[in-house]
Amino acid sequence: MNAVPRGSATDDITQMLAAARSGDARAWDQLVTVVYADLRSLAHRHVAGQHGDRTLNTTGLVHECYIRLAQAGATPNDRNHFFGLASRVMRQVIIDHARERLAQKRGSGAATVPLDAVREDELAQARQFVAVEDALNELARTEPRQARVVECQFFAGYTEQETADAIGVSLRLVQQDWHEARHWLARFLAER
Amino acid sequence: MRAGSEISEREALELLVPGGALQGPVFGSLLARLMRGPAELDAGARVGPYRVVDTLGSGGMAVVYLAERADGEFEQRVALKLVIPADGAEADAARELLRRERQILASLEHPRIARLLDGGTTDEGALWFAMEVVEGERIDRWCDAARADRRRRLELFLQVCEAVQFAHARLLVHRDLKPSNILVTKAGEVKLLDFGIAAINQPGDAGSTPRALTPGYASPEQRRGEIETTASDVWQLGRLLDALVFGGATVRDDADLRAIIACARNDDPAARYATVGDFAGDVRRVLERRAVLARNGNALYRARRFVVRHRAASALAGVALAMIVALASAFTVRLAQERDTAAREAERANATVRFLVGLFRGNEPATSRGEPPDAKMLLDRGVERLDRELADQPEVRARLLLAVAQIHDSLGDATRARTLLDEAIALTREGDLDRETLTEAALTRARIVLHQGRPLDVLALLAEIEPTLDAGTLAGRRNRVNLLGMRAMAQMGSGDLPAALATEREAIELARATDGPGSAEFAARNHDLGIVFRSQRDFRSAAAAFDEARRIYRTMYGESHPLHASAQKNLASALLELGELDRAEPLLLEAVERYRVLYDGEGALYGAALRSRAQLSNLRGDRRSALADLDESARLIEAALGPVSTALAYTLQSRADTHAKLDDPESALRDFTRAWEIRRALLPPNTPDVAASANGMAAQLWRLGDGARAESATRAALQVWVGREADPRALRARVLLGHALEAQGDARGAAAAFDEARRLATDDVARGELEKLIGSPEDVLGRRMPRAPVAGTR
Repeated sequence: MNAVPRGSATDDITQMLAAARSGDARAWDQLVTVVYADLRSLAHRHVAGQHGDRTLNTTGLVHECYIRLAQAGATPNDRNHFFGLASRVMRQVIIDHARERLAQKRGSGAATVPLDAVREDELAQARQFVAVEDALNELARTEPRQARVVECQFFAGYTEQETADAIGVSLRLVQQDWHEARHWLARFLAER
Repeated sequence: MRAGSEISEREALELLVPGGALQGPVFGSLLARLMRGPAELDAGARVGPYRVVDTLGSGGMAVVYLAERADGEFEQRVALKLVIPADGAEADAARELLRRERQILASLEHPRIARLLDGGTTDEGALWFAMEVVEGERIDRWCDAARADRRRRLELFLQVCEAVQFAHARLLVHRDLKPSNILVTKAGEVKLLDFGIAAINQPGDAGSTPRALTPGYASPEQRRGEIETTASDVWQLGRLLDALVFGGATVRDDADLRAIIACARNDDPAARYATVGDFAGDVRRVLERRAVLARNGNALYRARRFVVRHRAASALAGVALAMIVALASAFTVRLAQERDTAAREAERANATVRFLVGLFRGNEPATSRGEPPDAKMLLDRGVERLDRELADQPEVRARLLLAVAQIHDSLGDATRARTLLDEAIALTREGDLDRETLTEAALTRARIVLHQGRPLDVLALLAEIEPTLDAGTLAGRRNRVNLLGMRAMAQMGSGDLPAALATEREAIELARATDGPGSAEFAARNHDLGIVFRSQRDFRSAAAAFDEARRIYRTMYGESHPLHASAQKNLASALLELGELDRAEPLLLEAVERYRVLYDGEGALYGAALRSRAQLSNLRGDRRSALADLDESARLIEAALGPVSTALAYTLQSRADTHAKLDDPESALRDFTRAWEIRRALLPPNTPDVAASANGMAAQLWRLGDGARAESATRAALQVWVGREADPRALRARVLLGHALEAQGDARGAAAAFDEARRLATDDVARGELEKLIGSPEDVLGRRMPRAPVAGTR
């Protein structure tokens, strides 16, 4: 067999996590790459199974991706650590994409391919996401843990328990944080 | 803060639900974009001239298919690798590199390297590479499955090294060596996959785009996003060796292998094995149960030094060129994209070229015994490569020709450097291209003329260049520093010391303003300032300038760098002149030892260092040690530079002085005469050094009783001082003339010469020494030999 065996991305996750733990900046980029690649292959499989139906169960899809990747972590600690990092990756991936779409719209002219056309509802949502991102950064200045909880739940779609494991706090604290942060963010967004 | 998002609190609460960011059109379009990649081609799909037969595997950003020629021309099965570029810009850069590199990669034929047959881009913008199909298994899995013992694993690893070494010799770096890229065939032979692909797939720095570095197999410099070199491959090979022999074991039970791996994986690329060949050599020593270099710091150091002396120039040339070409490619691609980015990239490319050329500067003509032929060969090959691949990009080609010319110059091949420079200048002029390149090429040409010892020509060239300098750019200011530095040296060479001093001071201030007081440029200017002071015999100021240069070089390059050693030696010599023996001695002895290690106890530079040590011995009164050092110094310099060089003349002059003090006027005369002949051949006729040798000859001839020849020697010395008759050295020559006349019985002529000298003397110190030389010449010049038949003076 030639080259790149299936699943080679997950082979290296353990090493990558070790690198990320020791503060290696590149490990982060690698993680983004891996998450991208895995999301892509999962998306393909889903589309293939649904004959082009575009309404995917996206949360389920992303979850499947986490689980696959997290299995590479040998210990429960590794797994939690991976979930902790993956939530940040998801946040970055989504916000980057939202910003790109807004930029595309601004710069778009007649040359835009119809397939790529950015719909108004997508633009509205992209603007909201970017606003949430800004607000979340604001929140993180005073309440970093609450911001992490929002990141895990809103951007990464973790369950409360997964969030608690990823951050390393109790379930009760996650529930309380989420409640407070959500209302603070909503007020912040409305007042701007 | 952005403008209001016009969202009510209620809407915000509806948005902020678990998984909220994963619902709706934004995430939908993200997934749609991810799916647009080239993955999942069905059997029968066409890619370039190939048709997909089956999927072989996928991972990361790439998918590999088994494919066959679709045009039915001939039956050929290939492994077809499709790579998904991160974005449009990266795809463009990769396409450009691929276009240029394809030919070289296709020519990389080695039994242990899977050949790259072809490559291109799909309509969707993905890159594809057609490679030789290799039936085999990943090296780590093969070893585990075959239960290979450590010896077998090391042997396989050596096969990998052999292939990588082969590619490095052809200026190719793999950049992605890891188990999944190394297969073992049924026959038990190693095959490397993907040579050159990583380099094409990830051209330059992709900025914020995540680069598909292989986790765990990325070297520290790769993780920092710096340029990858052969040293990165050495690091990855170290990582591979670790995986092969220790696997996941927590206890690494072999101290030799541990040391080897640690050396290969050193964070500092310069501290790793200098070449893959050295690395493999140490692994071979393990197999042969011999002591490994990695465990012997000194041996490793010596080996590294050896490489530096004999082969590193070639390795460096290879790496340098590979880097220059890669940089230039990145540079051109970006140029088309974005003006700001292009300017930054260009600056970076320039900086790298400067750095590389700087590396070679340690190898100035005088420093090594000969020129490493391998380096020349590689450089020439590099130039061919430039001609072939950059024919349509004159600007980049001119810049690279210039860089290669500078390297040739540093390696001592002025002729070749001139040819390349002229070509670069012609290219630049023809195309009305980059003015900085033109200026820099002209400056380099001037430097070569300076090295050739033609200061007046240099001054004329520099005057032509000066109006073209652009003070508005960093490069322009750097060129100006360079120009001023050369002008100062040329002025000094032509004997105009005050002008040289003023020019050098201007250069220093500009270097300080442009690159800061901690820069190599500033250090170099200080060093040259020291040289100007020294020729003015202002040793106090010279010492201060050399000390400043030494301090900066030490910080920048470390203590064992040739530039640091040189500044240290010059500082010590200046202190000797000042009579500060105790301060000079430790510095000098250390500097000489550095030179010995740097140049393996050979070469003209080490010879010159020995001369300084002899000076110290002489001042301490240990004339025997001085003589031994001077004999060795003369031998080394003559072996390195031939029988006629100014460096040799300095040593001969010192040795003559020593002989004179040892009461051996015959040997002294012989050395003074040789020094005089050399200096007369090489230096302008009015140079003080010529007179110094003539004075020495005159004194020895006088001691030997040969008044007539002593007289002609003094007249030769006085010729040098026409117009500068009051110089103490001119006065000395005049007194010697008097003694020579006296020895021939011309008392009146002698008295006239003495009176003339007294009249010309401007200060009391000079006058005092003069009277001593007139009154008791034997105390000053040495005992007169018993009057014997004039013989043995030649």
